[in-house]
Amino acid sequence: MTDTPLSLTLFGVAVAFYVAALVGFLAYISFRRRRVADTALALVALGWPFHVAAILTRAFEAGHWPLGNIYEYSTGISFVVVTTFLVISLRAGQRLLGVPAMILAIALMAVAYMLYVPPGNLVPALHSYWLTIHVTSMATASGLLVFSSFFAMFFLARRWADGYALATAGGASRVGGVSGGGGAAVMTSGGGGGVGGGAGGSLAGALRKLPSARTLDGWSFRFVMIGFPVWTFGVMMGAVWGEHAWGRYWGWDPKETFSFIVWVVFAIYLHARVTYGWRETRAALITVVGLVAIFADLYAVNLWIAGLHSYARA
Amino acid sequence: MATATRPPARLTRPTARPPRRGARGRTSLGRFWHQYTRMRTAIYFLMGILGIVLIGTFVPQQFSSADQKVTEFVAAHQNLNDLFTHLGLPLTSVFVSPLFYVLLASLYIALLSCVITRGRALVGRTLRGYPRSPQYWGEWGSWLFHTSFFLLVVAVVFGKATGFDGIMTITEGQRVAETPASYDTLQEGMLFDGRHSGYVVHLNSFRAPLQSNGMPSDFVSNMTLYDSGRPVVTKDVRVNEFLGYNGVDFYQQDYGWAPHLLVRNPAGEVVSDTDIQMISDNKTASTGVLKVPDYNYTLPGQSKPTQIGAKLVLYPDAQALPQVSGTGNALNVSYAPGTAAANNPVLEVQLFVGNLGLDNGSSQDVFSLDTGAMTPYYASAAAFALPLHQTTTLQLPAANNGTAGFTISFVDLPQFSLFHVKKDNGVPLVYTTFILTMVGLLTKLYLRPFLERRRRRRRTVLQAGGRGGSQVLESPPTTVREEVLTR
Ligand code: HEM
Repeated sequence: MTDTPLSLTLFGVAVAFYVAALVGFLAYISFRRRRVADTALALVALGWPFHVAAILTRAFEAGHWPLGNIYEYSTGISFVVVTTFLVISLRAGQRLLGVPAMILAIALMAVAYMLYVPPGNLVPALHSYWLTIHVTSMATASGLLVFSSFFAMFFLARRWADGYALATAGGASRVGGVSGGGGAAVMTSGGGGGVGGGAGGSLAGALRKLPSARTLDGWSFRFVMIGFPVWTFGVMMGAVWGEHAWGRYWGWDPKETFSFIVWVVFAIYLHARVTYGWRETRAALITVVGLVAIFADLYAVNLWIAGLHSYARA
Repeated sequence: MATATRPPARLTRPTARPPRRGARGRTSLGRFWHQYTRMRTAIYFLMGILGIVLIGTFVPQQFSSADQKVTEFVAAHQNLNDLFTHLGLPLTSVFVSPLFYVLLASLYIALLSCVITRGRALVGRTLRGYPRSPQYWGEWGSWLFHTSFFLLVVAVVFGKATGFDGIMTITEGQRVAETPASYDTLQEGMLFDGRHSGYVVHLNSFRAPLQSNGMPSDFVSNMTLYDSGRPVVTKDVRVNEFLGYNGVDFYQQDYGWAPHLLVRNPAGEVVSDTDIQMISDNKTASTGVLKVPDYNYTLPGQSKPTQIGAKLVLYPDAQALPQVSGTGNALNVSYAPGTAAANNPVLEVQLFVGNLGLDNGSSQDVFSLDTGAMTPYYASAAAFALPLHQTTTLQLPAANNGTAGFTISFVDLPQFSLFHVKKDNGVPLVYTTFILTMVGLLTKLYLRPFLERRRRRRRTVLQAGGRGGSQVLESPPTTVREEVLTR
């Protein structure tokens, strides 16, 4: 490959912005200066148009909907992740979310680059509008559902930090000052109360910048609420496509099986939320299992387990 | 507002479902049923299913993975597989294992019970004029979701049980009737009435145009379907464009070369005149087997007529390799694969003489040759090259130390097309349950919060007397507050 397609150059620019932003968000954890976080957010917002442009130019270069192989697909999911992160940050002022969101977006794009496929024709099975609907839903749902795990992990971290604060402060009096406003406002505030010293203390202090555990739990649920129906729809469209292309709507092909696994994991989550004893920590852990399953579905299945869907490789 | 250090809010729902009247503490069966239909039990069932399905993704599965991988896995993990088979979970067929079916059935019985009791309660409340609160609609949504999920499986089972599913190979120019005898493999559902359509399909032509990278950009079978001798559909069938007529559907699945070979025995009789299906992964080189059981020639000194067979390799675009040795080997030119286009078709024929072993039933497979009771035609077991439209004459021993010539001709090179053929009347029902599932899910997840938000907004606006507009927008997301409140 002598000349780099324009799409790949734009892709590189977007990644560069995101990497700089990640450095900013990490710096924000250590320095806790609001301005650092805002700068990092601005870098994400600057990288985003390049990301959009990378996807659009790729679509023109390849002459098809740009979700036809694993390079395009990874780029697409990272786009959903970054976009969702931007929307949350702008609407709710949440900044710490930048750390997991940027790590994931960059990792996805790194994998996309490693598995780069020059723009070209699709294999015959992919010439279908059902494909377009199916893969677009799956990519969107993946990008949304990961946020439920991010918030769940924050929830667990915040829980831990609260427990730590409680243990070191020896009572509830000193953490009484930690309070969120309400809803969206909660996402920005939540100033850390007096927390004991030491490494654990400073980590706990940083984590107590997060919104309250309940708010985080609520946001985690929200993203399941948004992502789960999209995933359900995507799996159904995949079935319709399978019926249309191969004459079977379901065949326990590894890729299908894994999308079913992800679906069941989040269905378990929804049940756990209304089951006493499962609501909080266990429910949060389930979304983390969901996160692992989504990426196992995306990469492990594509790269190591062969099936009818393995064309997603190239 | 809430922090984690505040005493936990009121637990409004200590159990997943309100205990049903009479279920608790009556009989041990009643207690069992109560436990069994709790949502917590459903979670465990779902987890069990998850575990089995996970095994199914990592262990090669019969019917969905290559047979060879399955055999390899079983060979490498004999004891483990035996152990799990005893436990009702043969590792290479988990999706049809007893344990999987037991778990699914348990889940579905619980689900059915849930759906019936909650459905009855909902209908009862509706009849009694229960107020149409957001909660009420949410419960209907959840009910619809669970019911459709139940019906989905009913639709799947119905479709599979009353239909059939098979694989059919058709060579260019050939006509095949949709009857059991025409299938390579055929599975009929338990409730299938046994009446196949009898439609005749004619493969008019097949093409697989190549891209510059040598990969096919498409593969297309032009087919005509005859119903009672009348042509009713002519269509280009390709992946994503199947041929369907009155519930019987033909799906393009694979294709390959089918060299037409003609064999004459030393007496000059035509003893074989067929298209031979070749299999391959990449279409630039494919393999197949020629078997001539009724060769009708007896070698001197033998009592029974001999048979011949050959292992074939086809290069549609053979590239001649430079000659390396001049030892007078039978294969005087060797070949390597070129592209997948039929630019220079050459067959490499490795011929065997003896007993094909067809009578003992062990070697009926059309893709493999059992050479156990055969000798290679050339002592070196070498192959000879046979280009398209050519005939090779070979010699066999004849009486009085003489030889008798026989011929193999590579007459033509048509392609074959492989179709997945099925009848599944459950598909429209499956799609209907998809729609109902989505409606139920969206009702449950969105209609209720939407109605609640609207209601709250009305209330807030009323309370704030118009000045509260901005306050309304800042109020917490309904779902978050709802979650907080129910805890
Ligand atoms: C076949 C597997 C099942 C799937 C995929 C499934 C899926 C779901 C989903 C996605 C929800 C969330 C919707 C909501 O929040 O209400 C849910 C809720 C629920 N499910 Fe299931 N479910 C299954 C089986 C069961 C079974 C067997 C039971 C009862 C024994 C059950 C009882 C419930 C209950 C009580 C809720 C809560 C409804 C509410 O809060 O109004 N589910 N289920």
